[in-house]
Amino acid sequence: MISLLANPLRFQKFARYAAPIFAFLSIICIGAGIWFGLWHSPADQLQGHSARVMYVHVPAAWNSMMAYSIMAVSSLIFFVWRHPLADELAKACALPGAAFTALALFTGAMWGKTSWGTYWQWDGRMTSYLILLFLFIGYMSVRATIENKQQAARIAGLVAMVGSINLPIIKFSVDWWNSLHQTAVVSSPGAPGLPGSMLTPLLLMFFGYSFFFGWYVIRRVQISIIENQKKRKNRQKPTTSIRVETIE
Amino acid sequence: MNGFLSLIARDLKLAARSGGTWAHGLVFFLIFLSICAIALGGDSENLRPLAPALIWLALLLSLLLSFEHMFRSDVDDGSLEQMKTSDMSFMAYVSAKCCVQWLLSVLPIFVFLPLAAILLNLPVPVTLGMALSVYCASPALICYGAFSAACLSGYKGGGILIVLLSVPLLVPLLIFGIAAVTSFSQSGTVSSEFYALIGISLIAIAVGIPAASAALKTSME
Repeated sequence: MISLLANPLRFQKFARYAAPIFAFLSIICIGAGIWFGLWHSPADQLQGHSARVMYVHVPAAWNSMMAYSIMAVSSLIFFVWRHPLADELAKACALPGAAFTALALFTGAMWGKTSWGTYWQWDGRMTSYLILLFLFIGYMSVRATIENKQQAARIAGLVAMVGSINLPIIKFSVDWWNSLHQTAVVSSPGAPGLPGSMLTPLLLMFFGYSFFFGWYVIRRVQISIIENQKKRKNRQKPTTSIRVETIE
Repeated sequence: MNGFLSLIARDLKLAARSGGTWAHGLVFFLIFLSICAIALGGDSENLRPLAPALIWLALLLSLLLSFEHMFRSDVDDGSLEQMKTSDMSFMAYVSAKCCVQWLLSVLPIFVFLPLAAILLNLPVPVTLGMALSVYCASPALICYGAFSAACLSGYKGGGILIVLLSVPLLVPLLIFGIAAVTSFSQSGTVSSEFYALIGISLIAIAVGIPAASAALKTSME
């Protein structure tokens, strides 16, 4: 599937249909997730209705880590095989990843204030997640600062790859350190799991965010392909002032 | 091996001839600790619990200042291009740079740690734990810094960006380092935080040096 899409022309054909479908699915899933999450699911036993921010916070956190993983893997593909589309994919993942990270941090602080009494604590999970935000910002600033854009792409790819060591630290930090943050409820084997009425809006929001992320990335890569085509065409233009009439 | 050793000898000679520039980080380390002690009131009871954190901060800041100059002089006067055209591998070059940086930036810290301990009124076990944690973490500090410096070696105004790039990689070392000193001063034994520091250091050597040499190669194209 990935190698099918690696051809830019085939990717453009795919994107014409995929992007609107992803947008539609994202709106449906987020809408349904909000409806289930705010009205149709039970309130938490201890925290009451404030625990409903979980439906915004947790999918954002999962998606930000997914965004960083995609960025790191496509940076690796670009670095090793020098495939330009992989670099465009990595570049497209940076901003939504940073946005999801900021959203998760913000909603997490809100939730922490109501349930733990503090907006923030410098424990392993929250510190390493803040580091993820710094890694996204560092990636974007490296791309912006270095003038030669081919160099910038390779060096930013290196930054993404070296920083990927942070992902297992985030994942396992709640197990390694005593933390205010709770341990894995849904995803680990042996985790207590969520009741279905709470799992449904959580998964709906997660898929909604993922479709949104996919829509954004597909559109961004589309735009990059068109921009690169334009740049190549402009470079091939004759620089003399004689106007040549061509029959198109 | 010959090239590696000759690179180390070259850099050490250059540092010796630089008129004391290599000691700037060290001076910053001592000045930072002094003004911390002054700012926190100078009362030894206040300073003692904060001392491991302050020493680690001073070390981190003095190293962050020195990363910018790791590759700058070689890029500016063209020596890096000469090394590229010679048969010296970039990995050997970066490894030599890291060794020299360790010898010039970290080794003097061990000499001055007792002085820092006196400045902040630390007992001997804490100083020993401090020295051990710095020793275990120093390869990672140097290698991650070399990686950030190599990424931005082609960019002239790169100073603060090098700090921005290296901070995400160095913060786990800070956390584990201070935890290691605290646990050593309480229990007297080398505990899991030291193993974590050693693990991060080994990963940093294995990942940071090749990544730094790749970044240097890229910024020279």
